[in-house]
Amino acid sequence: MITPGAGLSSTARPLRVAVVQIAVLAALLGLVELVLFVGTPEGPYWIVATITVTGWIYFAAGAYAWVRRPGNRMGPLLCAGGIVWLVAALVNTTYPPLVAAGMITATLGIAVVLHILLAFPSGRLRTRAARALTVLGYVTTIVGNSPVYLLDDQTVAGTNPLQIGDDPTLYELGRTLNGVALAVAVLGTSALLVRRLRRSRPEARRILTPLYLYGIAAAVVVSFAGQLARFADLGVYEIFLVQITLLAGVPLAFAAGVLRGGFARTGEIEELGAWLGAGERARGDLGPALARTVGDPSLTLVFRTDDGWVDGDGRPAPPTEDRALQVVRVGDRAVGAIVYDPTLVGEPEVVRDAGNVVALAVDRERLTAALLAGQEQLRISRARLVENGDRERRRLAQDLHDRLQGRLVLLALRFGQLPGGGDVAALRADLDEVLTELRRVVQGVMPSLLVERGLVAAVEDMAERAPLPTVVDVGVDEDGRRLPEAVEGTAFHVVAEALTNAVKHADASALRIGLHRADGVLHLVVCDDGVGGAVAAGVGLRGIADRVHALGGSLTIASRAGEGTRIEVSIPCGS
Amino acid sequence: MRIVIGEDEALLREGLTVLLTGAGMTVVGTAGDAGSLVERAREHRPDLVLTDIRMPPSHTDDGLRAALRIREEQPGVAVLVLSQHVQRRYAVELLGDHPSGVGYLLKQRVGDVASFEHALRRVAAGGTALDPEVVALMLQAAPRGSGDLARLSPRRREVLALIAEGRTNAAIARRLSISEKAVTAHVSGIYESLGLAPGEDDHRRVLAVVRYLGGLRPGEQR
Repeated sequence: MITPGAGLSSTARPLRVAVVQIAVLAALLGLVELVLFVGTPEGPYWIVATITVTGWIYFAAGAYAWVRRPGNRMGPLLCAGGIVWLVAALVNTTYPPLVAAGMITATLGIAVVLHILLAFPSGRLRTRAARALTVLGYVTTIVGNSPVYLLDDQTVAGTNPLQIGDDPTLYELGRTLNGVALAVAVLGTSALLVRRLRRSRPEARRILTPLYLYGIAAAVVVSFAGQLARFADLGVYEIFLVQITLLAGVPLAFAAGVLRGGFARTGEIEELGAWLGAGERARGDLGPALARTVGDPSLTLVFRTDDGWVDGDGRPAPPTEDRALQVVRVGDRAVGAIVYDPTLVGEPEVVRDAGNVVALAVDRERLTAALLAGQEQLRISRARLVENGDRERRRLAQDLHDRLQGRLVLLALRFGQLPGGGDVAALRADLDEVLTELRRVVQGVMPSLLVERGLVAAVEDMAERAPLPTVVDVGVDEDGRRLPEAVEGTAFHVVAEALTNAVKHADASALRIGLHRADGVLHLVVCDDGVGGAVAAGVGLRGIADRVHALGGSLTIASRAGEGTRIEVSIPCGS
Repeated sequence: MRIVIGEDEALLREGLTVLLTGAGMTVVGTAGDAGSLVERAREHRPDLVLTDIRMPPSHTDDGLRAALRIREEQPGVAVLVLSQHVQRRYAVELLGDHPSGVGYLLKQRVGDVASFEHALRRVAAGGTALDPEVVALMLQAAPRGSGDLARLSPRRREVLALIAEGRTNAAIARRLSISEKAVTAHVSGIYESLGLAPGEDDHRRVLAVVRYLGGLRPGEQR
């Protein structure tokens, strides 16, 4: 038995409380820092304060993502980033142990950005390369940065509490090595992200590309600000402001990515449960609701029928390799499956949970889908009947042509060579009549021009022979490619029937035929200027309407009394 | 008279060969499909090619297209096309701009051996032979076609139709049960209506037919 929402919210609530408590602590820590900064010799107070504010931004974004997506590690990671920033800010205090802590963590924020990039969207490092690059980032920014805090005596505050030497050669060498290592980490991360983008689906790419670009840009600009500053005429504080703004934007961008993208969405699963309970739903709403919950716009729902997987409209929907399939069960019975993008949805567990919540609703929609699948099969079998009928007519016409007409002509040839005489002449005349009659029969079964030259030629020919002035307007013939035989046959019958109707019943004085093919659909319009009043219920029109519908097309008749008759037909004819 | 035959039905191909040979003509080659028909015509350079329209490979209008190709490659070769059904547009395509040495008849006309022979010789000599059915199709389309033709009296259209079939003034006179002199008068009237300058009679007959049939080109809209 499934009880949507209840069990989930009971675990979500304590987490929320805990996160709020940690956030309050971080806020207080920041406030203490801001007090300690008073009188700092490092620079203007507001500049110094921006570092603490950045820490708060990381923390706030992280805490929000954490609460909204408890199963996702991005939230905790962003919070950890916030702590790093709050610690790094301590360099601006005047108490030596705090200054030392701040100096050691001064560039750690860059490693955090790389970690965020590599761990997005799940917050977990899933490949060895990602783990190696993250470790490289941390080692470079803490250990690799050691020449700065061990050998530099340039601190504004006066003495460097960590200083153990002042060898400028060693200092420069260390800095160069560290710069190279950092470049390797940034470039490696970029390469990995590009590879991920290539492998991801277009929907995922739309979310990932801007985030990755922004993250990489931030890492590059911050890591190599000194080198970049040479190209721009910027002061120390301006460079610092650019850096801090870029870095402060990172948590906001990625928290937004977490909330928009497909990640652990306990909150949304609760919402999904509530939405299901509300009862105001239409068929087909379930898939989009799941897509919103899981955060994968490409998500679709398929249903289990005796003939395999079908979509909501009953059309066959076999699984494909690039999509992940989460089977939805009611008891032991598979009723449907959620088809989603594994590159966009970090954690399959979310999809499973969401599937459990909607299982009963999926089962209900399955019944509709199965019914529609039956209808679809019926439509296909009707189309097949029309196609078979058409093929039979063609075969019959061909047989009559090849066997009967040919043999009779041969017979006529032999008669013609017999010595003349009353009986022979009479027989010849009879045979000629039989041949003429047979010719008409064959034309009635399947016009030879339709077989030999296709629909356009046959319709033009019909227009020429029509007893009333008829204009044919033909659209793009798509490189002269022939239409499917059943479509040709059906369209020809539509025109023939419309012509008959115009002549026999409508008292029309002119006819206009439009024949256009675009985007895999044949559009046919036949208008006359007769008395109107034709209805689809008439035997002839009913027949062509049936044929058109069987081929998945549509037929409309506008025929108000006194306004002529306009018959419009669209038939899908392949691309 | 040297002839190449294109016909996919073997019995009919043989029957035609026997018929033509009996009439004193020489069948220099036969073909069962459009491709080899074109080859035979290149090989033998006959006086006339007699071909079916619906032939392999596609069993649509392959024979007609082969005939058109042969005329293009060897403008001197006369072509007589046979078919179980006749189409106005095929006639227009066949006649093109030079309606000489062209024939288009229903297949069943081979039963009337004498007329068929006559048609063959006429076409080989540079004349035309159009099936009355084809001409009837032309007539159906003509009144709404060219303005010149619309001005012709019904009788003159009848005469023009018979000219198009390839008949002589004498034959037309017999057919319409009028004097040959009356026919000549009608023919002059037709030339005048169609704006054909005085000149060689045979040439003007051909031009009149072109004018008559040329009211519509294939694919042209009305």
